[in-house]
Order: sequence, then C-alpha cells, then structure tokens
Amino acid sequence: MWITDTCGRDAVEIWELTRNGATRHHTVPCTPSFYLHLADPAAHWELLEALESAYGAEERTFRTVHGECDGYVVPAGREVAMAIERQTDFAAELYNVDLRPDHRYLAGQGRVPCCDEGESRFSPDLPLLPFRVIEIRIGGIPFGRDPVRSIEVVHERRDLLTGEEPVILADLAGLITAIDPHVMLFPHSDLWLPRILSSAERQGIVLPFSRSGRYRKLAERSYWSYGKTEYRAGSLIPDGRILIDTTQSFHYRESGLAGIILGARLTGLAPNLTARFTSGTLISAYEVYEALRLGIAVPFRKSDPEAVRRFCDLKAADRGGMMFQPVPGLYDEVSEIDFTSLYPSIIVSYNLSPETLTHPERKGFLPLVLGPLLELRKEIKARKVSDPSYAGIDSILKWMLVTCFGYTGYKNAKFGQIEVHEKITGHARDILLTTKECAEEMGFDVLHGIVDCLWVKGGPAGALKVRVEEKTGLHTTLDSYDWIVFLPMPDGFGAYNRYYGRLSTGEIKVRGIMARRGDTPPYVRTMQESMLSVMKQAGTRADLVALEEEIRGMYRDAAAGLPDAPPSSMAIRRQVSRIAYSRRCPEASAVAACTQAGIGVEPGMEIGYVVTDARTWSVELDWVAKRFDRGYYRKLLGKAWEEIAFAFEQARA
Amino acid sequence: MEFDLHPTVTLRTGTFAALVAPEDLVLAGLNDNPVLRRFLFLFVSGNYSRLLSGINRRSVTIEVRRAFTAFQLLTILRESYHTIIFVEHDPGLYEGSGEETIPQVAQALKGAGQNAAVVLYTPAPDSSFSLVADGADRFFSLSPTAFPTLQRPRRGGPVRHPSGLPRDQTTLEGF
Repeated sequence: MWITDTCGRDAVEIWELTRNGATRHHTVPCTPSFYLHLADPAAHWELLEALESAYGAEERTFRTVHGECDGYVVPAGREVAMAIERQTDFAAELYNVDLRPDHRYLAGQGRVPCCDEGESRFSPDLPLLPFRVIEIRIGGIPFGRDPVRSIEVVHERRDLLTGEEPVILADLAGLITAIDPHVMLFPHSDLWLPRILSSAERQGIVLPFSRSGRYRKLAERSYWSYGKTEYRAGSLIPDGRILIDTTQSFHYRESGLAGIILGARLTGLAPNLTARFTSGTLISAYEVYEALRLGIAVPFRKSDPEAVRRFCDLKAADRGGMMFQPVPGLYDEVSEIDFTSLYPSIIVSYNLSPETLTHPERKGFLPLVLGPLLELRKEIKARKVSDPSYAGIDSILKWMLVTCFGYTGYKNAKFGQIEVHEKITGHARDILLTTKECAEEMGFDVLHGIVDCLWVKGGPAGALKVRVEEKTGLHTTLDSYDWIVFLPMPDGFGAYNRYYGRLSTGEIKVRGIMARRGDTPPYVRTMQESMLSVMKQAGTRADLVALEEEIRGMYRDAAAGLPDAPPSSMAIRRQVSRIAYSRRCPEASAVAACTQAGIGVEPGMEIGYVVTDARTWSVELDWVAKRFDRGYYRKLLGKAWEEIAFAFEQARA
Repeated sequence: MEFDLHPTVTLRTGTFAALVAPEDLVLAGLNDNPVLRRFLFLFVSGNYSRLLSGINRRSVTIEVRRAFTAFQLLTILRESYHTIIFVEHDPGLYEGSGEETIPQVAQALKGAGQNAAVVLYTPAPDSSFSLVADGADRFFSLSPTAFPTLQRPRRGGPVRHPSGLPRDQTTLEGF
C-alpha cells in the first residue's frame, strides 16, 4: 500500500493506494506538542505552573543533537510556544514547534510516501509506479484573460476538448472522474488551476482535481537564494491526487516523476510538496524526518550563534572554495578529475556536525543521516553509466546533496552551524591542493581547478585517480577530453567557469557559454549548438582547423537569416530581482510591459521579452512580440560566434 | 572608557548609541584605532556585512560574532562581556518571524549598554533600524556632504590625508 498524499489540518489525513488500484482515505487524530527547556526554570516558576494547569505540561528529558536535555513537554500548539518566547524574552529553548503534523506522524510511524512497508527508502531500485497518470495541456497564454478554448488530455489515448469554456470544463470534469488519475501532469497548473476552478464554480461545474473538494494553498513568495532573488508561484494543492506543474517544478524538469517519488520516499513529504519545494527545503525536510525518526528534538529557533573569534581568525577561516585560474587556450588530451559529492563526502568523512565542533569524539548527526544518501548517490551514479534511466533519480539526489552543504551555513537551518560550513570549505581547499600536488608529482600539468575538480594534461590519468583516492579517501570520477577550450575574460585572463570540449566518448561538454546560459535567445543558442555539434566531429586540433570554414559559414548564414527570423526566437528569459528600477534597462521595460498587460510581477519571477530598441531598452513581451532590434541581436550572435572562433584561433596558432 | 569614532562621535561606556554614517567614515574610525587595542571590542555583523571586508587584517584585537537571526543576536548580546560592542544592523534579521523580536533586541542593546559602549550602526536607516534605535541614549547621523570623511587607509601604504581636515585629525592609523 502506497501513501500518495498526506496533509495536516485538525487531524492528519492520509490517502493510500491499495494493491487493487483503489484509493483509501483515512484520518488520524493528532495533538500538537512541543518541548521546552529553560536555563533557569526557577526564574519562570509562574509560567511553568500556568503551563501545567492550562495544558498539562510535564517534566521530561529529551534528546537534542547536543545530548540529553531536561525540560518539559507541553501539549499545545505554536501560539503557546510563541507566547512562552515573549514571556521569557526569547530565553526559552523550544523544540518540535513548527513541524508539519503529517510529516511528524509519518516519522513517528517510520513510514514515508510511495514506499511499501518493509521496503528500504534508500533502495536504488524504484518499483514500477502503480499510478494512473494523465497529462493536461491547456491551449493559450496562462497569463492572459481569454476564455479557455481547448484542453488536451493524454492518458491511454489523447482527447482534445474544444468549444466554449463551460463545455470544455464540463468535459474535463467528466474525464477526470472517469479516469480517476493518481498523478496529473499539468504545465502551468499553478497559473491555470485557480482560473479554471473559479470559472467552473461560476458555471456550477465541479472539477474533481481534489478528492475531497478541498485544496491546500501554498502562498507565492520571493526569496533570496545563492545571491539571486527567486520566486515561487502560489499553488493550489488538491487533496488525494498528485498534481505537478511540469513547467514550474524544478525537480520534475530535472528528475521526472521517478525523481519526485524518490524525493518523497527520502524526505517523508507528500509528492505534491516534493514537486514544489526547493532542494534546500527537501534536504531540510529529510534531516527533520531523520531527527524525528531517531528521537531527536528539532529546534524551533536558530539562537546558537558562532563562537567569539578574533577578526584575523575569521578572515582565515571564511574563505570559500579554492580555484586555480586557467590560461585561456585550446588544450589536447586533458583529463578532468572530479570528486563525487565532495562537500557531503567531507561532512561524512570528517564527522562534521554542529555538536562535533565541541565533541569531536561523538558520531555527528549530519554524517549519520547524510551517509546513506551519499551511498545511494554513488550507487545510482555508477548504474547511470550503463543505464541512462537512472539519470532522473541521480539528479534529485545530486541537488539534495549539493544543498546540504550550503544548508549548514543557512540562517534558518535546523541543524546548521556556520563553523561547520567553514570547516567543510577548509577541508575542500586542502583536498584540492593535495590533488594538485599529487598531479604535479606524477608529472601532470595542472591547467585549471574549481573547488571539486581539477583539469590536468600529461597523458592518461587513471593512476592519478587511484593515487588521489588513496590519499584523500574520497571517490572521484575521471573524464578525458580529446580537446578542451578555456575561454578568456574581457581582460584576457582565463575565465573560471566558461569552457567547452570534446570528451573521449565523442560528446561535447559545455559550461558557461551562450548555448548553456538560460537567458540566451533561442536563435542564438541554436546557432551555437549547431556549431558545437559539428565540432563534435573533430577529434584533434587539425580536425578543428579543417572544420573552421564550415562553421564560419554557419555564422554567416545565421547573421544573414536574422532579419527573417520570427521575433519569438529572440526571446530573452531573465529573472527580475526587483520590480522598481531607478535606471533604464531591459528588465525595467519588461516589468512595465507586464504591468501594462495586467500581469502582476513579483521579484524573482522569470519574464520573457524581446528587445525592440536597445538604445532606449524598449522591449515587447515574448508572446506578443512583433519585431526586434536587429543590431542588438546581431551583436549577441557575434558574441556567441566569438566563443567558438576562439577555438579556431588557438587551433591555428 | 570613551573613544572617538570620528571627531564628532564620541562613544562612552554606559551608553547605547545609534549611528547612521557612510561606511568609509566608520571604517576609518575603526581601522587601527589605538583605543580599540586597549579594550575588548566585539564587532557583531549580520548575514551580509558592508564593513567586515574593509576592516584592516591587522586589527587583531577586534573580536567578531556574526548573527544570522535575531535570536542569535539576542544570545550574543546576552553573552557579551566586551567593553565596546559594535553592531552592524542587518534588516534581514527581522524579516519573517524575527519581526517580533525587535522590542527585545532594542531592550537587549540598552541592557548591554549599561556596562559597555554599545553602537548600533547602519549606513542607511530602515524601519527596523528606526525601531531598534528608538531606545538609544544617543543618535548620531552623519552625512558625507556635511562632514568630510576620513579615507580608508590602503593596506601597507601611506595614509592619505583628505583635504578639508587638519592632518592631526586623520592619524587614526596605528603604524
């Protein structure tokens, strides 16, 4: 029996899929409770007496990551916890206050969604998904206000619903009832669903997206992440069915349905949430689930700051990742040695956790819970080499493990501490330096290095991989390039993150150039991708020289064809970091265009626009653009060509 | 104890002062200030510090703690034993659930100011700064146009003496 959806309202509600394909709903009563620790209980005797008489608070010893703690269990909710905070001037330590009731219940029961009882959550072999899946696609612009004219529903067959909106919605309701899907894949559902639900309600039609008729609301929000303003659209989450906005869901785009299912199994969150949450929230939920499963209380507030340090010590400790700057150029027969999930591996290998900073002899909480994830990733990554179907689940694991490092330094991380973050980067710097020394001792030339990978030249690097793994105790992978191009920055020095090259497998690996950037217009991207696919044929420097004329011709053709290209192929998609701009820029014009079109813009939203006049930064929204500034796009084409032409200049030299 | 962060800003033990001033002025006052070498000085920053990267590496006597949440700031203030506590305001600390801690932070700064010289600093005041600074004993607001600033000394190089200030007022360098 698979749990397909859960939610916590007054009680925990669970929807389960039985072996015969039916869905069963049941409700479990739940009483909220939390732990309280006071450094000086005697100073708060009145408060404690009131908690005992009003809520039945009792003395209790509980476990935190730092050890056992004497305190109280208070059978009450968040409001009471916050009142205690205020009354104690935020001196009270509170635990298990802001947990999702359904998450807490499942952890207490040792159960997770999408997993049979007795089955391991960490198994790389996902069972066949027992779901009825449908895809729903609505024709038209989700931001627009025109009535819906067509809906395509793909299940065992393809149904195209057309006509007037009330008729289409009634047909859609009938189809959903008849198919009774477990999973609905729906591009832009976060935008469409509120619209069609309200339209259906006006027409007296019940759209059965939700099994109970109720929807949970996930509020829209803008947030700051890794130096960028991000935006999450508000969502309506139906009860009992998995609804995935295939356009908005990062994890669905990266990992597919299998990735969402694995994410739900690991984190204990319902798939509806796994599909919508960021990788950081998933790793946090995973850590919370594991803590609850192990009987460790989860802190409510992050109130333990870093230790007092001398300024010079802080400067020495807080230095981030190590980089070696490359000399721009074209290099033959290069090897790239890459540490698999370096930062999480360091956490596990060096036993780094908030509590091990003061008690290094203890087995830390973070290494304990990240170890199984890391092993699963290694297993899946190994299988992916021969079976590409593992790529999806590898991706969600990769992202969760990538963020588990950043999360140690995140201000709201439940089990984070900035000193752990600094120690991880400190070890990573040592490891990269050790790797460089090994390579140089073995006669390799080190060309470039970024945090967890190193590019070396000087013959096959199999022996280097063995030596580095022996010396560091960490797993590495090796890629060999027939040739690789490290591009220059405008000042002529090597760029750290812009390179491309042909792997010995014949594939092209690309980082940081226009074909890879998210804001490159499709017309420019297509040209550069076509060029790279031709360059893929070149195994040597001489082969590259031989292809130059053909590729130069592709640039000439693209430049000549530019005036006749459709404006939509010139769309630039960028996230806007703000909605008020003090200077002229294309983003400011795009925000103004959205406002004019009646589309509410929030910081972090992605907007697609076409530049119509670069002198005044005039733009049109991509879906209504009728023209574009040829001069501006010719320059972009030129930039994309320069990135490719650099390889030929170097090959000829 | 009292010390001059600027010719017009004198800070004393037993006071909680709020300061709005350009960064370079504050950095000039902090870097290699001989008075700061004699007392326990705690620099408290938030998630993003405008000043930390500008503080001279040789300022070995400065101790630092970074508060990433308002709750951590409260703990830092409770635990502090320093003679001078310089808090660089970070509005991000009070976003979301941190908003309700503003009165407590103001109170904790005031409390810490009974035994130390406490400074709450921002280059640009915002609503949370104004609320926290409301309980300050003294409020300094310096603008670059009204008061010529001391230029930040270059690392290892000679100190430049900005025009408009007598040379003897710019010798905050300790070398």
